[in-house]
Amino acid sequence: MKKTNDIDELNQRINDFKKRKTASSDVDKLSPQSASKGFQMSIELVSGVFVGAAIGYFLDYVFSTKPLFLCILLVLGGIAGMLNVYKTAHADDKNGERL
Amino acid sequence: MANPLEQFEIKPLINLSFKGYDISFSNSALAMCLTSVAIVIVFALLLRKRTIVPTLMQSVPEALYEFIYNLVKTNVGKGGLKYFSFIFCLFLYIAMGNVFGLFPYSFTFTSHIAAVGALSVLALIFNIVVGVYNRKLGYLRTFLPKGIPYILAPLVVPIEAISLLSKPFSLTVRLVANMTVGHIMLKILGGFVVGLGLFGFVPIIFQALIIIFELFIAVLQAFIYTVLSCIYLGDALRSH
Repeated sequence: MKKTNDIDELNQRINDFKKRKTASSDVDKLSPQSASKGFQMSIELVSGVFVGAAIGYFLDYVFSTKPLFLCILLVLGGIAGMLNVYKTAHADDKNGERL
Repeated sequence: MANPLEQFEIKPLINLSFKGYDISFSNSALAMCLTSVAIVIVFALLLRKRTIVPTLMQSVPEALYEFIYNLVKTNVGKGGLKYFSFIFCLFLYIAMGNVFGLFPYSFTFTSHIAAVGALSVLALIFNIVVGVYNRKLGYLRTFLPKGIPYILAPLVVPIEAISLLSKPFSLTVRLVANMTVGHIMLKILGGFVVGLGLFGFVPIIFQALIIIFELFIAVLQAFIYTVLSCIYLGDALRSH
């Protein structure tokens, strides 16, 4: 009877330890490096839209088709921004934690 | 309080013009020249006595060299080591420019979109040239990665093109934003020191801490710029 109690207690302790470990690793993730990564991702996202809009505006200016290209390339720029975020995150995964 | 943006003003030192274009030698250009000269002088002084077992002085540039060497090796691959000198120069130039800007009465040229943007566009052109030189027509695969049906090409090609062109933009904005924000913060706190009179010592403590943090940011941003340039160069050399 005592043995089962011991095992139960041990199990309880292991579970407690696991819980503590996951909690502390969550805290570790909130480092300035993660903030820098987040800042980088946000810039990647916005830069796609900006560059898309700039190219669109330029094409409209050249062909005087305002605002056709601006509208199309704004949307494509948004998609390109998301693609950039994906690529950057993917590159980070491949190289391990670095930035 | 003095205008915190005043420090970013470009003032012409020697007035020059070429066919109606203003090509004056400004304080920004002077900062760039001084940065380049400072790099050469520091490296020449540290590497004055070269020995096989490095002295403390010699180990600083050697550690930097090895650090960037390994960075290029992991991010671009062994084929990218040919372009190591370019990446190393880029890192030194930006890191030294950032640190140089922290000195009083100096000028932070890395806080100007024009200066950093030109550098980023140059890096992009370099990447494209390297990609085309190594992979010839295969470089066009960048715009249509393998496994994508040709029917999607009209949609994917512009997206990939914008993605490629937005790289220098994001590189520039990140570096410029970080540098500008830090310097504005320092200047505003400096204004508080004067404005608070006797209690001015409180912002001075903060300023001392922020300067240390800014030094860290200056090197970190140069490092991030270099890592991303390496990743982009790796993309240009390899197909997806």
